[in-house]
Amino acid sequence: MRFTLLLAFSLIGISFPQTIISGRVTTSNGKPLFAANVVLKDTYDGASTNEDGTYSFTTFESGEMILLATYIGYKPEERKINISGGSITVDFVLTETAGELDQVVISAGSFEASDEKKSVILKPLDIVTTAGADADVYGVLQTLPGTQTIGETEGLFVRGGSAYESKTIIDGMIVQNPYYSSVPDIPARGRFSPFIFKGTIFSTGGYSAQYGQALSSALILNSQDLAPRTMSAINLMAVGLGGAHTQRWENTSLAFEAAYYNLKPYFEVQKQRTDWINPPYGVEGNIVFRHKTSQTGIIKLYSSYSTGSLMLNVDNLDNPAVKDKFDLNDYNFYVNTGYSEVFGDDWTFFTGVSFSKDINDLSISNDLIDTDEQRAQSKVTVSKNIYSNSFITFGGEIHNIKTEESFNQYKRGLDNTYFAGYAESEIFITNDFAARLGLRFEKVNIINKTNLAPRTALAYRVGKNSTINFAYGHFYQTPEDEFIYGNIDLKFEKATHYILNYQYISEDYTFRIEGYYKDYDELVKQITFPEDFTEFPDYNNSGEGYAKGIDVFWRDKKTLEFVDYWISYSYLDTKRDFREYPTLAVPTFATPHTLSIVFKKWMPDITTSLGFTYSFATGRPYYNPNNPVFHGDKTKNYNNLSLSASYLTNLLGNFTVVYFSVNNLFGFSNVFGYRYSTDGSYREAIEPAALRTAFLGVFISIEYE
Amino acid sequence: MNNFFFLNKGIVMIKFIIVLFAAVSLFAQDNDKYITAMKDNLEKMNTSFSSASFQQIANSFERIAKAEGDKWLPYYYAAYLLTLTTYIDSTGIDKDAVLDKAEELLSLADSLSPDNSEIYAVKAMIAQGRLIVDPQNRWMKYGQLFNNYINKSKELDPNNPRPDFLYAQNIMHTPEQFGGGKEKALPHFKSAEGKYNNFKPETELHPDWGRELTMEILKDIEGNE
Repeated sequence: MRFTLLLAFSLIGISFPQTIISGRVTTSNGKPLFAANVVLKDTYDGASTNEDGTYSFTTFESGEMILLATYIGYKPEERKINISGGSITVDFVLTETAGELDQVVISAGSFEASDEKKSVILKPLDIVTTAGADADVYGVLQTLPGTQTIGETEGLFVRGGSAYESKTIIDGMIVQNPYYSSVPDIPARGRFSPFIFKGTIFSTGGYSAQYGQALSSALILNSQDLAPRTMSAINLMAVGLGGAHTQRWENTSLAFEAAYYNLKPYFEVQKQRTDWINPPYGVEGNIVFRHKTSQTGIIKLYSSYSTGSLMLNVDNLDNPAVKDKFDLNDYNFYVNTGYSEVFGDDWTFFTGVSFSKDINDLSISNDLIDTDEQRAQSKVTVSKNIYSNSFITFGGEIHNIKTEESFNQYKRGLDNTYFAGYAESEIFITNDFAARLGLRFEKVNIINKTNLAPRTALAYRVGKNSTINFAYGHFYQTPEDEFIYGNIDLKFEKATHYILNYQYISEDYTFRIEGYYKDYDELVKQITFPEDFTEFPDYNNSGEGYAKGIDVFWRDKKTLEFVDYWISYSYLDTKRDFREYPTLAVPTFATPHTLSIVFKKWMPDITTSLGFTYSFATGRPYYNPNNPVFHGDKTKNYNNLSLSASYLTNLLGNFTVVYFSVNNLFGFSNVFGYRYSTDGSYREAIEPAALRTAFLGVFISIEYE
Repeated sequence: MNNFFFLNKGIVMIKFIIVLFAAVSLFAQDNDKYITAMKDNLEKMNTSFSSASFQQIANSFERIAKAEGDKWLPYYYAAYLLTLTTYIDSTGIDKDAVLDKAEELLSLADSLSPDNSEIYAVKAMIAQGRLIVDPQNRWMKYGQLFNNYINKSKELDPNNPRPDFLYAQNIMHTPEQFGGGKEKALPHFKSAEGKYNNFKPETELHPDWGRELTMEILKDIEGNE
């Protein structure tokens, strides 16, 4: 009987032999993968790997089967094995998946802020938490490499370019008046709240063929989709007050915002250098509408209206006893609406219309200067996914730009039509190598000229987090209106960009070094200087110039606890001969060295975020009529340390932020340039409107369950 | 001879019995094997607390899920455990990638058992996991998504204590300035406690987690009062 049982057990043994399967799972560099899953397909049998990548398990299966190894972020590997007892050793080498997220990102010349994408340099929140910027998009951009620290006027001065060479683009459409109306020696803020954008791309050169009419830089802002929730907000500031309400339905959201500002009480406490008669006051409001038409389709509308007034005295340098009264009333209306949808599996369609009107009624002493600018534009873009993540995009846009100016009884105006078409492909040759090739065609009626601009950008990944980027392109821009009046045969101004960068981006650190060369050609140059100011001077396109330099950016979110800081350094070597310049010279808006350090610390115990921004720039040249060398004088170096603190708290159950900031904490005296009397005998320094400025605001969010 | 015959007969008999037993056991084994393996994993799940062990148990649940193909529970547990690893991990795993995987597994559970309150509770956990990765930039989007899933989970089964428990925990870990804190969380833990006291899982394999932690936290909050 005993023998029988033995035999019986051995029979079982034969039909169910036991096999030990073991091995090791590593990456292609030989690094062990911990907690990889190894499984005999269609069975329970398997194991997780140990810290050294090894695994081992026992199975009673037999015959030909498939052994599968998986690990998150790696391509699964299958191996056919024959199981027949004993032990089998199977090693796996897994390679990282280069999914869509892992494809190399083209980044030559551009800084991107997004919360949807990885490997971006900024987050949208960075824009509102940077000290010294006071939640102005343009203020934050001045802490990035490639921009100049210009304090006497608004605008982005990028890599040797003037403010005119930068364009702001919202949802694909050029914004005619991105800043509030200009006041002498005071930089105007941007009109748009950073909170309405989900993504920002600041390109300091080499940008896509989708954008034109900017020789130096493009600020590309993409507005948010549906508002996340119904809520209200109350904003109390030292300079005014505002309120907002957002209503969210299932597929629709509508938001209203209104604000009143009056700087009079603030300027009474905060003494100003500017001699104000009526400090700025005004009202503004905007509406944001979103409607999802399907899973992938959305209609967006943004519209704003603002009006403001101000009056101040400006020194008359030719007669110091007299003050010129500067009295400005402005009105601005803007609407931008777009519809996008995905058709089939791989067609994306976008169409948009935008209209803006900006009226400035200005009087300086007894002269009345009125301007009325309007721009109507429409745009269509069609994009097709050709394979993997590779796209081909076509589009066209048409603008009508009307400008009217009057100087007392004299009037002049321009009615211009601008047309552009482009084609561009973004192709992944491998996951590590991407190429963007584009061509843009433009036609401008008023000067009756056309141009064809090729654009190229390449990105090649050299390591897990590091890429090398290259960009090359031609950029054209219509000369400024003031030159076109009376000179309608001017040509486009032109710039050619060459950019090469190395970039390392991980969760915690970003390092980027970028070198560039920019060649300016056919810049507008004044060739006659009529004595009689009622005569128009003559202009042609004989101007030229260059800009070359190196931009360095370092950001570290890891080393210090709760601290995030970034350092930007720009080296710039630029000269140009344009406008009224007698020779090739460094322009007044360029300096060789610019440095900024942005530091933010989160203090959880007191729920406060503290930040400072330090900016340094070497002196800039200015025009001194007494110096035979044109732009032979330089201002002293610029220094500024700004501080800001945001205290997060709760007011009557509502989330509240108390924001406080001080600009130029240490009171460095900064000079942006000098203005001379006509005979050169008297000059006045151009300085910030106040030595130090402080700002206090309370922002309350009211949420509904 | 006789003896041999008997022996031979015996062998035949035994062979027959073995075959019969094997057939029956193979049949029974199919379900037993599932229950045993699941119970084994659940026990490990309830006694370990490290990112690595959660990952390993998740792997094991995934193996069961893939082999079975039509059972939502192993997919559900694998997704639940992967999400937990992202809450507690300090080894620097790519949390978004792990949450992607959790989402993928949970969507398989969802397709096998649609409109399941328990699955929506884990969807809420995944949204919370996304938020934890980058709270400053993500609270708007994922805070809302978390609330939506919690509400859906409650709606699908008003007696399920887990959405209350998750919501209470979320409130507790939200800074007081943002309307969170222990005090605010207390009524939600109370509500979860009430539901846990009446809750009986459908089978021993069905979700039954969160009970002990709820009681512990309640003791802690009420003890401090």
